Amino acid sequence: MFDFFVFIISVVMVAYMLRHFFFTYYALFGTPQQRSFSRISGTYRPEVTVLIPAHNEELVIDNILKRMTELTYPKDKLEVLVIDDASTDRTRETADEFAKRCSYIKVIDRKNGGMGKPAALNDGIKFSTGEIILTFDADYYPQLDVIEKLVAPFVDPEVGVVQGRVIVVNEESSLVSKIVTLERIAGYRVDQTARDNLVLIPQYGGTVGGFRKEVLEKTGRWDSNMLAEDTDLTIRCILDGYQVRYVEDAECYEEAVTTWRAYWNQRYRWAKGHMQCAIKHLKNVLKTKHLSVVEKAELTLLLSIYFVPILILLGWMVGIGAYFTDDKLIIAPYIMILSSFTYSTVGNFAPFFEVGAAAYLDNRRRLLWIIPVLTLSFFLMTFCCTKAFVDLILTRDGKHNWNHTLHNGDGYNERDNRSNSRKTHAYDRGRVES
Amino acid sequence: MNVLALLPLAALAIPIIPALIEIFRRKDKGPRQIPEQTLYEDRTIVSDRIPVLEQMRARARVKATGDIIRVVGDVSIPNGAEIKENIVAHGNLRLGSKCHILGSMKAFGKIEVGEESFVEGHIISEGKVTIGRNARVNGIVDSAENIILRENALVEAVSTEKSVMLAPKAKINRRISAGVSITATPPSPTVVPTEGPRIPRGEEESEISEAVKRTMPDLNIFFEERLEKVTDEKSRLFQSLQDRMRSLESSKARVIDETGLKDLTPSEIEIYKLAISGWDVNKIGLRLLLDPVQVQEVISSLVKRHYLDEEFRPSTPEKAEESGKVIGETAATTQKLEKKRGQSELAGVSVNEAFEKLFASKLRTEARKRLKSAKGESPADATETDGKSAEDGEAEEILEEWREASSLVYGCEETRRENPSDGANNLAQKDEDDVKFPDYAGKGSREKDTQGLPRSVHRKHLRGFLSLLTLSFILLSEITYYNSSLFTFLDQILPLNLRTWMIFLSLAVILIFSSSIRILRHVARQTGLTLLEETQGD
Repeated sequence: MFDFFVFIISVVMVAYMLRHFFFTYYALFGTPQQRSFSRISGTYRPEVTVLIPAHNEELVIDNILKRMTELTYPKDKLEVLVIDDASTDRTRETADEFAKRCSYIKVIDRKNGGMGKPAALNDGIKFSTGEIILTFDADYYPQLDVIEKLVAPFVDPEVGVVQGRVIVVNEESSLVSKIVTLERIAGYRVDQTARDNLVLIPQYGGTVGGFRKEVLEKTGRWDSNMLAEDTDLTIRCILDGYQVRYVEDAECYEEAVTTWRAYWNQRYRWAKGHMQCAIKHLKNVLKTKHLSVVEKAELTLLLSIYFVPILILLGWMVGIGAYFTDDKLIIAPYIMILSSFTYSTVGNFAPFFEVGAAAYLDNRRRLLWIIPVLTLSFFLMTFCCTKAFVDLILTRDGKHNWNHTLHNGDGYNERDNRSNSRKTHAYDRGRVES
Repeated sequence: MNVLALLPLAALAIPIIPALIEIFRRKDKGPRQIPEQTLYEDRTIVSDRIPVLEQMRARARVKATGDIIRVVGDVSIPNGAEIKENIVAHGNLRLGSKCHILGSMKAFGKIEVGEESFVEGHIISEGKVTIGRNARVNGIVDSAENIILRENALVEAVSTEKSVMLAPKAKINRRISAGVSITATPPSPTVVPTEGPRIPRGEEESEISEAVKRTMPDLNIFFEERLEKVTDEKSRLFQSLQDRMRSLESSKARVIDETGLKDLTPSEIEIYKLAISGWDVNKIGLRLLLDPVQVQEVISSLVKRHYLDEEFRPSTPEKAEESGKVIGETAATTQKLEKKRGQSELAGVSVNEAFEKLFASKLRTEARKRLKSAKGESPADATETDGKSAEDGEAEEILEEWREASSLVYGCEETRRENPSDGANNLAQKDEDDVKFPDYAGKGSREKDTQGLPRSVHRKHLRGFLSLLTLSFILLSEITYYNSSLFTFLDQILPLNLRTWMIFLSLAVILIFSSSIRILRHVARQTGLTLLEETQGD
């Protein structure tokens, strides 16, 4: 009986290993299979609306709004909408101050709040005037020419969604932030880059990215019932025939979570949301006619990736069961090799060799030393994803809680401010908005 | 339980050791500045033909419904047509005259916009783009090949990796971005427009081409393509000849003086001679039967030791002596500095390291001067107070001052990543730099390995030995797994549940892992991935 499980698990592991090995190889040595739009960055200047949803972000909102005033994009073609999602702190006041000074910054007050970020973004869309809609989280800090870089791919009529790169700014804060840094580097420097270069499907990450407004209107905007509304929207756009592009040099700096609890909460939401998306879209992905076989395979693997840690947990249980029942597995002599492959293949959704290659490519060799510590997050995610799956099954009615991650501006402020802000903050309290 | 069983478990802790060092190392507490530039180079290489994956995507996308007309193959739109959607063609796209396109046009082949046509969107192509007379494009024209604007053509902006050719009265409203050149073409004849080639064609060639074009208009494309290929080949040939002649001429004037080469090994002298004669790395490798990477390493080492300058010309003996003096002074100063800090003298410190350290100390002094002058004190006081303050036990103050100074003068840690060779950037690294010097050469073990030939040769032998050892371990593990009786003597020292084959296999896996890293590095170096250069951390 155990042989069957081991076989299934091995096949899945090998599939993911090949996928990530190919990505890593391609990121290291491959050449892009489709055109880059960096050449026309700055030439194409459509009207752009930037949406910044904010809930209790008083410590960071001024950073991003100040940055918005410094952007090199022509201000007559820029509109910044701050969507205050029923904040109870000074977020609204801070945004209002900027709105008074700059005519292109506007504040939308969602007094009742609720339904999380997707609902806030949908409200923002109603007031937007731009042809291109870009979204940034309140704790993000973009490069000065990020908008020029992000809108450039929209010159191509096939492109409906664009994603930029996220870089962690507070990696020195804690071990958790270092781990998140590694994950981010692997995710963007290798995973997204390879997917874009290989004409596959880069993923819109919910921030530092954007859409054509007409695409959003056509696909039905953000679904507030989904916890991973970004992934959901990406898949819907792809199913509508649009292309997603990743712009690696459009960099934006984020404040990563710094505690294990916050890490768990954030990943739990992602895992649950991803699984929701997989259940919702997997059938359509396989059925649709306008995706190539390679795209279908890639999308299936992408949507199912949060199930992999559950399989690993299952694998461990099978191993223990086989030991106690004295059931000899067919591949017993090579179980050690298989486990080492598994270990190095599915670190935390990016195999360790991929993380290593990404850090190497990003000139961050010092971070390579941390790779063994990723094992911690790997174990944590195994249980996190299993819990998310069980909870998802138990709450099939669609009522899911939206956990909001609080930010303290740790990465951007100077040391003195930082130490003060640390004292005043409780990290990552869960907030139920539904 | 036998405690020896814990031995392999203890080995598991080894990979964690660097992680622990990294986690508990002292951090830079200074303010972090956000870099405005992307931290890596962008590679925009697009292959000539349509890649297989793109073809697959295109074939599948044809079935998609929406506001895009998708065609796999060539498209020719008749004169006077009006199209409201975007057009995507996976071949050539030819638009007739007086057409009106309300959307954008994208093609993987050539795009031709006919006379007096009007495109409201953008034009994107991987091939040549020609905008006809009196045609108008409201958007951007972007191509990987040449863009030609005929008389009175009007576009918003053009962008190409190659050339933009403008006929008289052609107008670009906003921006021209050309990778090679922007040229003006003479007014085109009534039938066929002319194109400015990079190498002038002979009269005969142009006459033939005109004749062919007039008589067989359908062959135009093929003929032009062929002609372009011929001219390209010609220019490549001339370029190669020119380079060769230049290198020969430059080598003539060089006289090799072997008196200053006493300290070099015979191999280094051979490479030195060939390098200053204008030979490139590959040719030197072929001539001396050496790996080009090895040759490159030796040349880098010679440059660093001032035997060669950056352009591979020999340094004059005076310069060598001067640099020797400087290096001597540097080493002496470094030793003094080390003594001052109560540490042992740095025996065997490399020349580069010593030089970097001197440079760093000079910069540090300068930084303090600037800080003091910013505060309104005299710079002279600033230099003198350094030592005294330390003696007075005001270490904390100096440390704070140093942090401020480094951030004031040299910016933040992040900038160091952009310019790894800049010693000044390294200064802002950590406060502990003030106490003990890091590897300012910044290249870590790789640089240290490239000081001379013998070490590289040893490493090469070692690599071969390692693979042999790995194979042996795999073989041993297989043998012991199936014939455990062969190694019963090991059971006396090992616990029973710890299989011998497991140990051999573990060793093999470790060796495979380490060899893979070596191979990856070697391949990266050979493929010239400059992105992989070490810039931070060591």
